[in-house]
Amino acid sequence: MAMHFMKYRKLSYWISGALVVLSIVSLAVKGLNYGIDFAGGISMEVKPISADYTLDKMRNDLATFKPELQQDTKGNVLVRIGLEKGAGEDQQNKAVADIKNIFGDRVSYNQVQIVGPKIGGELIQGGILAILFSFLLMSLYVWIRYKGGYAIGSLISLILDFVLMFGFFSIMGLEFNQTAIAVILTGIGYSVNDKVVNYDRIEENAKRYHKMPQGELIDLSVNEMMQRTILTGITVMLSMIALYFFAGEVLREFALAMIFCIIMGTATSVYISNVVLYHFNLRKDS
Amino acid sequence: MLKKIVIVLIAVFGILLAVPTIVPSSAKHFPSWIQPISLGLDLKGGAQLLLEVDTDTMLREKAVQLYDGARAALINRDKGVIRFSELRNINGTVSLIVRDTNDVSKARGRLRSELGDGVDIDADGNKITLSYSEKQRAQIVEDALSRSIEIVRRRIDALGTKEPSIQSQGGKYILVQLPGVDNPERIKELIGQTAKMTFHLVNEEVTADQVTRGHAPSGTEFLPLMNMPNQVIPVYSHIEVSGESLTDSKADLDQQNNMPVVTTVFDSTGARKFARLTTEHVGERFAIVLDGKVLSAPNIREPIPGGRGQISGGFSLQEAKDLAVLLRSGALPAPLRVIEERSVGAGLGADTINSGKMGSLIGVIFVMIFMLLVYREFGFIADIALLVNLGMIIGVSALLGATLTLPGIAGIALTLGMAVDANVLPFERIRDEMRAGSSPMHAIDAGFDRAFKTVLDANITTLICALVLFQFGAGPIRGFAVTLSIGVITTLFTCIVLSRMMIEMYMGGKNKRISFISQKKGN
Repeated sequence: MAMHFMKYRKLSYWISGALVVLSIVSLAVKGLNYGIDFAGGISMEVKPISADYTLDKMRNDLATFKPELQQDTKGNVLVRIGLEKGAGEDQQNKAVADIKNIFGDRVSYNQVQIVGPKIGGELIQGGILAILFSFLLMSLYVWIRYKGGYAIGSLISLILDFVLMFGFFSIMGLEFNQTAIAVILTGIGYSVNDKVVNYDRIEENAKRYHKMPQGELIDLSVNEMMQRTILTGITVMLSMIALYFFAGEVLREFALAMIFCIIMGTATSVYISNVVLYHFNLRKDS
Repeated sequence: MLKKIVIVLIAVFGILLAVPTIVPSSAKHFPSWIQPISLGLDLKGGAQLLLEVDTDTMLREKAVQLYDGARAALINRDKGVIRFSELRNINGTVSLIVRDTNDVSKARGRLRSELGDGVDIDADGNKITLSYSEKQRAQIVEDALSRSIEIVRRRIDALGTKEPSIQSQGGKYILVQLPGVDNPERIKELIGQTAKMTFHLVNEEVTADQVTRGHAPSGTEFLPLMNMPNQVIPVYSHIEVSGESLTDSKADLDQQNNMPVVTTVFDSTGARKFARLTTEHVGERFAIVLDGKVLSAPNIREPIPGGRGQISGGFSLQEAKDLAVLLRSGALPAPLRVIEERSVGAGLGADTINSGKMGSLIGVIFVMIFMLLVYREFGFIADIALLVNLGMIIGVSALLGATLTLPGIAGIALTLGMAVDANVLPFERIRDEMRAGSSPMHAIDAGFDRAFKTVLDANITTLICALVLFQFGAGPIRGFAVTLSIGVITTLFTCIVLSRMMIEMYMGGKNKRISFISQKKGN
């Protein structure tokens, strides 16, 4: 049941193009939901000692700080206060000390995070640098390893991966924080890994079948690797699905984003990075 | 045979390293270098503060020395006075105008020889500007950072915090980690004070009118009282004795009125200066100034020769204790600002680690069942390799002193999910080889050999990502990157070397039927 990916390559391009447009529109209109890591601000998760201390009372008590309050099913309350424009670390620290005074011993603290404007800015910068740097290294690696068309094929799908992942974070409204950078980088790693595995087989087959037309050659190789591509995708998904359901709140978004990365990485391996090779003469170098 | 023994030994050793982590009660039976993996603050609970040294303020204050130095160099009784005007200190740059143009090069030479190499001297006509050189500035900041770390450590130790970790980060920050502390407000308060204490004489000639209008005569400053900030005391700027001369300080109760006070002991230089101050100025007032605020301004009733003093300031006992700690630990060279704080309660940490473990374990079990269903007996072997891999990731992490964080746990789950790829690849290859007509034994050899290159290529990309993440990330994300990198190495070992050995042993040199491969050609 060999599949003819080459025949549908125009369709692949159209679908990818549409998704890229969707991602860019969402990034432009909705933007990213920056977490406290990057945006700065105060986030406190508290547990009221007595049930009498309700969310409404709490909201009343903290009114001057204009907080965003959210209660989970276990009764924990998440208090988030955005960073006011021009506010410095000292004001933030004072606000936290004041809030703790207001709460007194009516709550216990699960978690407190205060991120100043400066450190947030540095983290964003670091994150962007890390992504660009990994981009560079990955491309360099593929270039050295495979040369020519392969490197361009992987570069195109790498760019596609990046845009779609950011788009996914934007469309789903997932919190964009340090962990998100980790997910994107690891997702990229997985995606490139998937492409490399397919390229290995194409390269091998190009040497073995001298006369086979290029489109057929790519189809054959991708089909040969199909079982592996799907099986490995499934095992990684299984471990991430388990994380999504059983590893608690904090890792849920990590797992969700990772699942998307795996689906996307697999899809771009099959439909993009290989298909792009069609436009290059793969036998030129060998 | 020897190769097999070595492989098994490595695997056993790797798992052994993980035993104290998996069974914490066994840790005492292990030597000190095989210990449980250390947990990050997000898992064990605790507070983390990121402090920034306010180097701008410090460099500005440091320029006062430049200002004084320049003045002393030019008004030198032995070498002659070089006349100048408009000596100013603006934002860390000192400037002056030499009166006589002919004196400019002489002034330059004098300044150079007196102030040393660490100062940039620029002349523009009559105007000379002085500033610390780039190198000197970096040195000043570095010194301030290491001294700040030392002092922060002393202050935190004085509070009896267990196992604090205080280290510099990125050349300008100090990272303070306090396991078990879930409300660091008091520590923040203690760290937030510079605790620079100085003793000054009070300028009694200042009139009430001058005070209300806020016009301080030159050489005099109006400093607010610590517990009555609306009231100011006119003190001479000249420092009579500095808090650096204190050798000890304790909180105590005043014998007469039972009010909390801080008793201090000066070193010999300080004691001499203090004795002279109190002898020469009996009847006058002196001000005890802490971080620009007057603690108290007592009357000097009689000379105090022994180098012992007592500071009262209407403290509570707690405040007196804190002040004593601050004075004992020494003054910070520059103000510290808390620019990031993350604290996690111990309860939440325990919940987090439990659910993280649960999720990862269920993930591993899913993967194992899947491999068993798809690859039957080979799947069973891959599952053994997977468990060894899990053990080795934990064990090697513990051995290297890596810290396990929540993203790190996710990293383990992810690594194990991806690791089986290194078995799927050779297994699929074996299937291909057999379809092409190879015997099982030959197919296994060729399958692993050919797949090896691919597995290696694929893992390098993961390694690149992990290294970049490690370089960029902070705290928990670093934990994730470390787990990922260790995972790549253990995966190559368990999935390629160990699985292959187990499969070869299982086949026993015979062409047994491999049940996940249908022997007919095609599907």
